[in-house]
Amino acid sequence: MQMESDIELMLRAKSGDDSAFTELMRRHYKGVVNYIYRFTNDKGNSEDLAQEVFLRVYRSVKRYKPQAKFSTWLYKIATNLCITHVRSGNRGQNVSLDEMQENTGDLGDFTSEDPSDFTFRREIGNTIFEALKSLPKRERVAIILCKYEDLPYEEVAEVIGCTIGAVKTYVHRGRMKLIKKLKSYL
Amino acid sequence: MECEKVKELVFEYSEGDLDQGEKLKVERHLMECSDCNLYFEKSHKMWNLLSKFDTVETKDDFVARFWDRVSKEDRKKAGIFDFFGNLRVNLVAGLAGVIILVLGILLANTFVSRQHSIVFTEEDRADEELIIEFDSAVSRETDELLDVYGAWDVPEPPSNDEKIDENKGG
Repeated sequence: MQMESDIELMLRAKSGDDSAFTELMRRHYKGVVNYIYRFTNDKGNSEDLAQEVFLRVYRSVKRYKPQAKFSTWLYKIATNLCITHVRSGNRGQNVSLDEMQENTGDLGDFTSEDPSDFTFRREIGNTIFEALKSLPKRERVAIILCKYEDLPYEEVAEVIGCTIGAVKTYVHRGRMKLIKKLKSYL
Repeated sequence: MECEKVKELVFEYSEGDLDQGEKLKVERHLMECSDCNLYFEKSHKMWNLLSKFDTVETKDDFVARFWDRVSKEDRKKAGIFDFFGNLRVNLVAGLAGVIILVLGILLANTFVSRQHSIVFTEEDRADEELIIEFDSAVSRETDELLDVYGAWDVPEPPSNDEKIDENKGG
């Protein structure tokens, strides 16, 4: 049986079928949570913000027109929310060691004998976040969406609201700046 | 191909997004230009380094929590809409309450006033007048009796010695 596309699910959700929206969430929520986390470095609030993103989508489902890909729409809303969140002063926090151990399963092997592995990952994570944060917004969004969410240039262009050529330029410029900022790790 | 152009295409080259012609040009340039080759290596390393930015381990109940939140918000909204939807009924009920309260106060006032007016009924007034008349009559009689001795010249009763003398003499 062929899997329903996001657009088909969204159209079903539009007609009042909540199970279709549940399926859409199952497909995308991890990506959205991680996208928000990489944008804000706020592990504690990433899920709450992701819920807010889906809530906004759900509340506007009746107005949905299948012109763009669902994920484009989703990441556009997530980006706006992240920018507002960061602007409102809830900037990325330095997460404590305990919180990190509690909230993640992907920060290194905590059962391993080598605690320096975990410390290194934490340090590199913060450094990468700071480097990304220092980029202009469009370069930052372009790099996060291309690198972590694997979105094609076309979709990134729609999220940012620019041409594909401009996205390529943002990624190129961003990479050049990141090389400089992260040179001690290269 | 110029260095700047090659640097622009390095990312697409490493992602395999270039067409065959451009790919060959980039490869040829990278072999000849050590500066661009170094940039390519660093760019590649940097891109891999970004993968070390950890991911968030999401909770399994994300979807369930979402629907909880939706139903809570819906209930809250429904509460507000119910109030405004039943505004006319609420207003009528409120108005009726106020009227009942006012009527209650008025009735209570009337009842209290009646209780006070019982003291001043005509019968009571007649009784009162009768008592006053009786009082006056008693006063008049007393005055007439006292007139025999004079208003305030009442003789002192005789002492015991005088009474004895009278008995001896009699």
